[in-house]
Amino acid sequence: MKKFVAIISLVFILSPIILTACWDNRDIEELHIVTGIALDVNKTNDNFIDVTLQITNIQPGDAGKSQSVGNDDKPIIIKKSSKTIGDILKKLNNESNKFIFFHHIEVILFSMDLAKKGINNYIDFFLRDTRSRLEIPVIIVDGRAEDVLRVELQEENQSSIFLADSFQGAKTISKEIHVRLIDAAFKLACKHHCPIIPVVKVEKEMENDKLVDIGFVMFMDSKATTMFAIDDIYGYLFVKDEVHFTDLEIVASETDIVVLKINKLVPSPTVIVQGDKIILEVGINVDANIGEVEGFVELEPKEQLKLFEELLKKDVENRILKTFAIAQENKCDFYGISEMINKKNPRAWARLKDRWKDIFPTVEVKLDVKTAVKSTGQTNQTLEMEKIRNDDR
Amino acid sequence: MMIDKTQISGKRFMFTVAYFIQSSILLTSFTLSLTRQDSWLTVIFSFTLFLPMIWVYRTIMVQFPDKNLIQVLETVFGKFVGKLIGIGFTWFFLNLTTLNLRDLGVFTIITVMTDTPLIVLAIMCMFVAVYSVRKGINVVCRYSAAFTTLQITIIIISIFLVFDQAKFNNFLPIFDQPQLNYLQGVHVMSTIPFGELVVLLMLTPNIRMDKKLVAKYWYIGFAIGGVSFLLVMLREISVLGNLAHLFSLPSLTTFRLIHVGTIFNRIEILFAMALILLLTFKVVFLTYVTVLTIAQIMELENFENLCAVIGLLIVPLVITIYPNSIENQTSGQQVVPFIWMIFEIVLPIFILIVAAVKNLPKQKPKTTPIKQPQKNENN
Amino acid sequence: MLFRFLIRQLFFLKNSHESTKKDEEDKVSEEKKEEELKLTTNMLDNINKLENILKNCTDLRMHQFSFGKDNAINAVIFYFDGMVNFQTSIDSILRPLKDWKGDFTLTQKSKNKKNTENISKENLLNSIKNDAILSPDTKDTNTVSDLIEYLFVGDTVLLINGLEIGFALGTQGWEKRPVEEPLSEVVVRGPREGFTESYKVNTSLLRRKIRNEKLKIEEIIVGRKTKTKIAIVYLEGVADPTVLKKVRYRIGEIKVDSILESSYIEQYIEDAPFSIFPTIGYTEKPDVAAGKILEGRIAIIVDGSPIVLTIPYLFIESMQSSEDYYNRWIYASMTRILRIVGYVVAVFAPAFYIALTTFHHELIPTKLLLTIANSRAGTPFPVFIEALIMIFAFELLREAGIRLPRAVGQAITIVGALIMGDAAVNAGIVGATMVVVVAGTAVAGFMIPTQTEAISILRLLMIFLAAFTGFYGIAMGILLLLAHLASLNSFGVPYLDHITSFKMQDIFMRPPHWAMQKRPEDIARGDMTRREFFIPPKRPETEEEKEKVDKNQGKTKQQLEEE
Repeated sequence: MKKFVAIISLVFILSPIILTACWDNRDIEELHIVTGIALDVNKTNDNFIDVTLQITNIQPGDAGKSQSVGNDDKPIIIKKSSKTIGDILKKLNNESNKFIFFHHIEVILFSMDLAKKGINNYIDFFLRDTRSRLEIPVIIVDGRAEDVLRVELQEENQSSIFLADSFQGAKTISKEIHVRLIDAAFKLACKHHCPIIPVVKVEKEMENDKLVDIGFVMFMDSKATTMFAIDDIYGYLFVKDEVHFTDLEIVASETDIVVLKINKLVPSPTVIVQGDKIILEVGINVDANIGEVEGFVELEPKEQLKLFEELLKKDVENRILKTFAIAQENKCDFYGISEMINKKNPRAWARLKDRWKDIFPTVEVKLDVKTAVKSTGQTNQTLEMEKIRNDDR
Repeated sequence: MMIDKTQISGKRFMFTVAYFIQSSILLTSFTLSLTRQDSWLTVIFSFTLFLPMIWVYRTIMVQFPDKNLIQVLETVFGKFVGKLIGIGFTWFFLNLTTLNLRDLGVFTIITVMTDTPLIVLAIMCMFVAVYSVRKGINVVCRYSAAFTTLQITIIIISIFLVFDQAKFNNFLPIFDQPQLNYLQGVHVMSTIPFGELVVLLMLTPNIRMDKKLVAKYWYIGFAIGGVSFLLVMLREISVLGNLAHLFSLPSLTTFRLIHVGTIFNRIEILFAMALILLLTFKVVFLTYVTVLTIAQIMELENFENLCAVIGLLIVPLVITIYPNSIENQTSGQQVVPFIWMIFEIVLPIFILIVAAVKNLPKQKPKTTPIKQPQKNENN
Repeated sequence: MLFRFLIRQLFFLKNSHESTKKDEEDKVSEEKKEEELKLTTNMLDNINKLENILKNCTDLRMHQFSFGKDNAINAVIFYFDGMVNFQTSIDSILRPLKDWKGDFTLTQKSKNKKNTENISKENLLNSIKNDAILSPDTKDTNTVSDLIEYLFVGDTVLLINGLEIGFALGTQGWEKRPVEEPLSEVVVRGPREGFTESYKVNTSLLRRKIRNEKLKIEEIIVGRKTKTKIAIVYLEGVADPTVLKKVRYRIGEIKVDSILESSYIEQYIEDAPFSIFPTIGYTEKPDVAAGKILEGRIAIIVDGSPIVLTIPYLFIESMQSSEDYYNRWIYASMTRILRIVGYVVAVFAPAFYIALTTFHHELIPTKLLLTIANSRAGTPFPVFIEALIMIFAFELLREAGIRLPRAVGQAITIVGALIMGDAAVNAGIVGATMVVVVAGTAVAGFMIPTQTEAISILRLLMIFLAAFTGFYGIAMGILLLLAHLASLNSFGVPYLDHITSFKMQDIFMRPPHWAMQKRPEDIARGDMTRREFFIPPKRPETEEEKEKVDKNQGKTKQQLEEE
């Protein structure tokens, strides 16, 4: 009798659980898979932001046939404006037929105007939301951010996937070039350390739209200020972290140009604090190969190599000094020197941090660059040199 | 009088100790918000400061080899006072079970992002717990060795996968926080993950091992657990650095950042599932201890029918114990360590002192402290 | 209707103790009847008694004849047609009786009539036993029921007028299946003998594998109506005596009408009848059974069934197959790991797929997610229902495939596979990925024959849990399963014995034969070493070994002694 009662009561207790709906059960076709999100300042109302979402378009094609991601399908773009992102999402969900699914966002775009007003609140939203991913790139757009989502590219019909892929590829050059959400958040949370975030622009070239990386923008007090060109980023990269596989074009004179492929560049930065004087000492080791040579016809290959090493050394130093000068001009410490001082010598930092804005422009840079050009590729002379040397043929 | 007649071996006990500590790695957020990048120092400090308490536990186990904790209380303090303190311990164990189950449920809801209400997850977990507890300690502790190995493997694999994002200067600066934070951090860390080992004193009659090996098993198990805890803490700080104290679940965030090649991209769910598997053990074990305590106080013959009742009791407790997660965190940092300290540190030392004063245990006429290994039953 | 059925099932649990009452009543009445029927000296009387009991059994044949001097003694033989080998009965009964030159009659006169009768009866009896009947299997009895039992076994019953003792002589000779390769356990390398339905053949197959005096075979008869012979086979000194006692006790406690197959015994004596995991193993090959007996297990042979049970049975045994031991160890370890992985795939693959596509879309890389979304765009059912449909269809195919006549079977399976796979996908009923997943699961499920029932049930359970709460449900299901496995005992030995203990030998890796020197610990007792540990010598040979080989031309001591 006891067993009977126990079993009946168990059935009654468990059946409500089994018979109720499954709360989280969503089939794939009920989702709007968002791949890119763009935030702009609203044209009419300054306080409002526009949020544009790029959603993959999945049409029920020939039933059952497995197609790859439809190459002819253009993505769906939806847009809404309100004061906070949460409000916008609520309105979007009300208006769409499927559930908006954030987990696969590939890129976050902010427009330059919005960046100038400050993006900390919006980064906060993305950190708090459990559905966002922390390693996606954050990109600032020169112009309206939604244009980037609406652009029709040749290579890929969803521009956010294109951007994410290109930034993933850029990671092979250096880890610092790829600003992830968590890196941006990390740096924005520091009071004195200014992050730099890449800038992208839509350009038209012969009837085809292109997305071009035009530079990096500096953030002071969490607001975007000045921008510097993409070529100057190397001065920053050479100090922060290892650089691999990038080409540097060095112009020695009108006719003599050489392109050196950097195999590996390893910096080791240290900060020396002497009272109020701060010296940034960077030791750099460079390994390079010859990529392309124009001119230099009078020199033998051996001498050429030596010359190239000298040229490379000067070039690296110049770049670093130039970018550092830009930082100092704008009083924006994106090199992270404040962090380095804090980590090595917290007491010195406690002394200096109130006057950091004045001290930073006085920081000196001492460089110690050692270069080595290792190989010359498949050939070791150019055709011009061949012509001049063996002019009896 | 043993309520639960099954037995486990000494080595299995050692792995249970290790596993018990490893199951608490979700609780790193308590200390990370206090002592930010020096939390690994806190782990080392509390580990060394807790070693004498392990010796106290081991002495209680050796001096009263076939009495579990409640019986020890009754012997040392007399029946009435002992039962009173036993009821206090019942409240303590019940709370532990509830809190751990709540942690598990909230972890699942945040990671796997279920809209499922907490009660459904709690009922499923308690069902499994009650089913395992009915069969005795052997079923509960059977997989401790395998799961400990699995947990260590997961930690090592995750360290390898995250290695390229780990920056070792995230550990600097050292000793930057105010002094009181360190003290509080050590206090929290020694009561919440390490101090819960007091529940293992309820297992004394069920373990077959020599007196000399008791200390060795305790210390080795504790060392394994402590080392994995330290590794996890190191991993979190080196990857998340500055932001570690912002997140409510730093382990999950570390897993989310794993991005090696194209395959190991979004595997935090797999890790979450492995963690769920491994954390449920703690809930099951604590349920077993709660049921055993209550059965011991009421001196029941067997506890199989009691299991389901206790299971049903714990489920509504899980939902109502804290209204939100902020209260959970503040209570965990400010209130709970002091209460737990009474049960985990003060009372065992008190037991030893009173036992020494009263000169217990009395020498028994027959010498049965070392159990004969039972053939053919359990391993 | 369903409701009534459920109520009846629940009442079974309540009234389960009532069904054993009937057994005892039957037994008492049976015992009473047995006592009444004894043989008398009058042969006609006995014949009548026999024929009364065996009324309407037209295959019972009777042959009356007389033998002795002047054909004075009347006798009758009974046998069941078809069960008796005529040649044997002629050679062992009829011819020797006809040739018997006994001089005894029962009508000799003497002073003490009774004495003489007794003496002469005894002399007649002795003489017939010693001189006349030439069968190595002679039994005599004086109860009719015993005679009937012997008739059922295939013996010929001889009744002699004037003797109140009947003889039963072994003359079995019925049609039986020859020893051939069993269809269910096919190996590439290894012996191809298989047990048959005949009890004698089975015991002889085992005897020929283990030629040791410690191999004991104990016989028990079970089943009121079928009177099946059951043998308990074990190696004395190695098998565990407590398990042996339990087995004997439990078989003795079986009080049923019929034992038609060894699985009846299995289901009566097993440790956990409500569990989906078998705690008693079975095999159809004598080399497998012999291997298990040598490790300390106990085998049970049931007459009429080619399947031999082995006790105790642990979980890890379902992952081991006899071919593991006949192949070399590296490859054998690889196949074993493959089998274990296949088991996991068979149980969890559809559940993982469902959990991934309905709950955890974030685990799938973006491009793959878009591909799956495209391929599922037109299908009407949610993934859960699709999985159930496909698995149901697969189980239909499997069950039908067993019963199809062999000629048609091939065609139907191909058509079935084509229909299930291709056409369903093209018609848009199921998605293509689901077909792949279910096909993989199905094939993986066949890798382990003893666990197919457990795998099918577990697979369904996991699918339900996954559809309910995704990975959390699967995790809870795994824990429930592990807790259940941990609590199972097979005759006192824990079910997961070697996997979670600290002495793992032969679980994930099959160690080389020369490394496994001890028998598994919890199963064997007593004689624990199976071989001397030696590492096979390095080849090419060292100097020492060359010397040993050259000395005495490589012959061992034993061979030298023989010469």
